[in-house]
Amino acid sequence: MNDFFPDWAGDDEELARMNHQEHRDPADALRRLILDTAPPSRMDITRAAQDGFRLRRRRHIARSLTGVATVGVVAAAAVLLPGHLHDTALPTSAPATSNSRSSSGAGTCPTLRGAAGTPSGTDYRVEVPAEFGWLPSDEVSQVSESVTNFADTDGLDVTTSDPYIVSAVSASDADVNIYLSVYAYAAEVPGQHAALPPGCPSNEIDGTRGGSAQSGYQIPAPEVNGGKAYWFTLHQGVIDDGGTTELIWQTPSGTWASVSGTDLDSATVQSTLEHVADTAEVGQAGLASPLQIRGVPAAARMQVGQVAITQSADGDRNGYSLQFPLTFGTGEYMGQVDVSVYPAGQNPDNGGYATVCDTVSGWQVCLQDVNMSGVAQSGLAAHLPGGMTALQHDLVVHGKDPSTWSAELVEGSK
Amino acid sequence: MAPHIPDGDFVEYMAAHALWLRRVAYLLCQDWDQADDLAQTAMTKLYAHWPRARKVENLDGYLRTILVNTFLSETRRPWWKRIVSSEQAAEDVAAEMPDLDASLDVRDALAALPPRQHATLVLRFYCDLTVEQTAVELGCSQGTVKSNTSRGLASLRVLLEGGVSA
Repeated sequence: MNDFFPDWAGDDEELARMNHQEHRDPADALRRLILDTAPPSRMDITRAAQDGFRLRRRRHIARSLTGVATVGVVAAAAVLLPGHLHDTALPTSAPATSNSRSSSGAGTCPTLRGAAGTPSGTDYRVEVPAEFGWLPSDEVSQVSESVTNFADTDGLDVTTSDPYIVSAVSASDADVNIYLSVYAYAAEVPGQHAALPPGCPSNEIDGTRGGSAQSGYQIPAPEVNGGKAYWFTLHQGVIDDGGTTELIWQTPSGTWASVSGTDLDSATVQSTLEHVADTAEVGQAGLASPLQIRGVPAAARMQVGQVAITQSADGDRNGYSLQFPLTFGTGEYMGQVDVSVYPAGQNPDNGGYATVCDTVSGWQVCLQDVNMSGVAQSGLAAHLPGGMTALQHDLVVHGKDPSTWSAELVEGSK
Repeated sequence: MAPHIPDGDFVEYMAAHALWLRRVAYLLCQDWDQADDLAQTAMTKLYAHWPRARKVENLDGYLRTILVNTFLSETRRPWWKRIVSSEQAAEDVAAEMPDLDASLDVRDALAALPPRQHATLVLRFYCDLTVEQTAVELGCSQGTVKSNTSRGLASLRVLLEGGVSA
């Protein structure tokens, strides 16, 4: 193998010379790499078109956020936590291997968020397991990585081994990101080799820990808010800003969390991430919304799709976006309405779907009848008497004063 | 409302370019499963911009840029979000085809490079782009491309001489 890639200055003349030495040609090595091992492809052009079309339709929310971002913004993605909220708080003692906020009995994998499927009861509350505190003045959060843009029905159900992630994105450079992550249990924490809790999918854990190339290195770090901490990096002895380094800590209550960053100033990345970690608020907390609904329509399933908040450096929230789908029926009779709220003045991108919008108290509130992939006709008419107009009347929109907002998405009962 | 019917010119274009896209994706990530995911994501993003993208003069370059940016974005995410090649799968392949050892060494050495050096080498040597073209697609200066190429090759040489650490 020593004949590969001799010292090379990187100019085209040298490349041309090397191309005449086949056994030393990088291009030849790359071509052979492809031809040796290719298995059958899983690529699906039709699915790409369907998902891409949904992306076109959904992008208007991100655009509206970009328009209102000023100096610094905090974003959070949230999930709706249906039912059983009051017995699922983070543990107050320090468990060795779990951050579970839900039951962790035999065969039940700990999770940070509501389970998939039909919610039970009428207790709907928007919660997040962590929020940013301090951020560099130029950081703006837009959309959490933990909520997929491709989800219409089941994509919102994040697997239990996925950590909760809040992302902050720079207002001036989209490549500059800071991530705050919270883990459901220790076995998914980089550098921790804890036992897998009962009921957790082992394949996800394998993916979490990665293969040999991702085994990584631990570097001692100062305590974070009284919790022991370490840097975890793929490059020995290097705390870099390439997205391969995380500052990981365990809070006194036992919760594992981490921060990482990309394209941060290399001279200050270490101190920046340490301060982000020190000021982060880890623990379940309600996320207030200016939009509520008077009860979930019969036969409907409701989830929060995406919440994004824009916040200036002085803490003034100047933008808010919430989108949640209401799904009716099943299979080929399934229908869906996406409900969204964002600052007034934004023009909705209806994507060709039937859309009803209204401006209320400074907010643009829209409902879209979203057809499902593979469904010939919307199931909405069969399951929602009165259609979207009736649903619109059930929405409660508060003003711009956050003190009037509520984390409870459902107000009272119908 | 009927399901969305994909634009015919998109289907036609991707049918002709899917194999190429997948191979470039594989060279970037060294894992066929992840390559399929990267290529799928790139196709999806392309379609999301298709009304505008179909008019682009260099559509191949446009798609390649989407792919590379997707790859670089993935590498910037916390690393657990990335799909990692299976060591066992690699061993299985090697057992069936012993002469793959050299390719697997190159693959592991590539994986050890910083993402931008890695992408630079793939664009320059597999996609056969010039320094100028590579700089445009990576959104950096020509000098950066040259230095990334030189450093990348030097690192590969060192890694291949010394063996890739597990």
